[in-house]
Amino acid sequence: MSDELFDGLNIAASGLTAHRQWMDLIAGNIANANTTRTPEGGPFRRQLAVFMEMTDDSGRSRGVKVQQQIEDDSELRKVYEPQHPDADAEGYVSYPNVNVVAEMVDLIAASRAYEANATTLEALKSNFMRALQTLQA
Amino acid sequence: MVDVLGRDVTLAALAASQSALDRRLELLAQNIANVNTPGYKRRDVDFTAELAAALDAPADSRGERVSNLGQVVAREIVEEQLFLRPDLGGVDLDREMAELAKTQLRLAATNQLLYKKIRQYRSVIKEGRI
Amino acid sequence: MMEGGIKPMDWRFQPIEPISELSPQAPQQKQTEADGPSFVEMLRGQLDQVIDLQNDAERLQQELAAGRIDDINQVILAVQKADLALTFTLELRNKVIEAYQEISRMQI
Repeated sequence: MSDELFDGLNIAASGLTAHRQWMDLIAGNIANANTTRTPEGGPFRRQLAVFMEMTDDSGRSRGVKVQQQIEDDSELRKVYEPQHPDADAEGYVSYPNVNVVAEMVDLIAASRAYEANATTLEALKSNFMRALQTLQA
Repeated sequence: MVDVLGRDVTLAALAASQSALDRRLELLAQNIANVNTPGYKRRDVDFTAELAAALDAPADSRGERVSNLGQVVAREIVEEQLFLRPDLGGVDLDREMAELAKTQLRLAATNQLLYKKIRQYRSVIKEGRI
Repeated sequence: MMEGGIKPMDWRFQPIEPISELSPQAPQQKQTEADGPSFVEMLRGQLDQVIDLQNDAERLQQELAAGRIDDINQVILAVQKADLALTFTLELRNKVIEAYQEISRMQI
C-alpha cells in the first residue's frame, strides 16, 4: 500500500524517530559518564548518532534517519586513582570521554528538534483536515 | 457549462496557490527533520512568481487563463548556504518554524476563500434557497 | 387688438408664454408617466452593483494568491461585501416572486 498521500507526515515522523534515538543515545552517555567497566571490557565510550537524509529510489526525500551509531574515538579521561579496581599499571583509571555539560547541550538541541518535528506533524495533519472541510461547502 | 467552476479564474488562482503552499509545507517538513543532518541544504518553493506571471499574461479567454493557472508549477530551490561548523547543515530551526507558521496561515486564508466561493456557487444554483 | 391707453413700447417687453403651459393637452401627458424609475430598472442597477463588488472581490483574491496583498483585511472585507450584496439581491428577488405569486392567487 502506497503511503504517498502522507509524504509530509512521514517526513515529520522520521524526524521524531531520529531525534528520539539521538536523545536515547545522549541519555545513555550521561548515565554511563563514569562507567569504567563495560561488558565488552574497557571503559564506556561516548556514543554519537550519525544523521543522514533519507531518500527513496527515485531520489525523493523521505526525511531523516540515524544512519549509524558510532563511538567517539577522542581520548579518554585519565584520573590517578591507584586504589581503583580498574586502575592500570601506572595507577591511572580511564574514565569515559563523556562531558556531561556537552551532553546537556546536545540534549537541548535534540529535544528542540523533536518538538519542532512534533509541531510540524500537527501542522501537516490539520492542513489535510482543513482541506477536507471544503467538501462540506 | 456543467463544469461550473471551469471558467472561474479566481478559483483557479486560489487552487494553484494552495498546491504550491502544500508543497512548501512538505519541503519545510524536510528541512525541520534534517535540522541536525550535516551538510544538508535547506529547500523552499517560490510560490508566487509563476502564479503572478500566469495571472498577468495576456489570455484570449477566461478558459485559457484558467488553463494557464492549472499548469503553474512552483519553482523549487535549494539554498547553498551552510553554516561554518562542519557538523551543521543549512537549517536555522527558528526560521523554519516561522516559515511553517506563515505557510499555515496562508493556507488557512486560501482554504476559507475557496470554501466561500464554492458555497456561493451552491447558493446561486439553488436560487438563494440554501 | 390693442387696448386704449397702453403705450406702443409696453407690448414689446411682454414675454411670450410657452405654448405647452397654455395648452389643455399638457396635464394629461404627465399623468401617464410612472413616478420614479421602474422596478426592473432598480433591480438592474442593483445587479450592476453586485457585479462590481464581485469583480473587486475576485481581483483581490487573485492578488492574494499571487502574493501581492499586504493587508488580509481588505480581501476579507471585499469578499464579505460581495457576498452580502449577492445574498441580499437573491433574497429580494425571492420576496418579489413570492409577493407576485400571492397576488396572482387572490380571487377577484
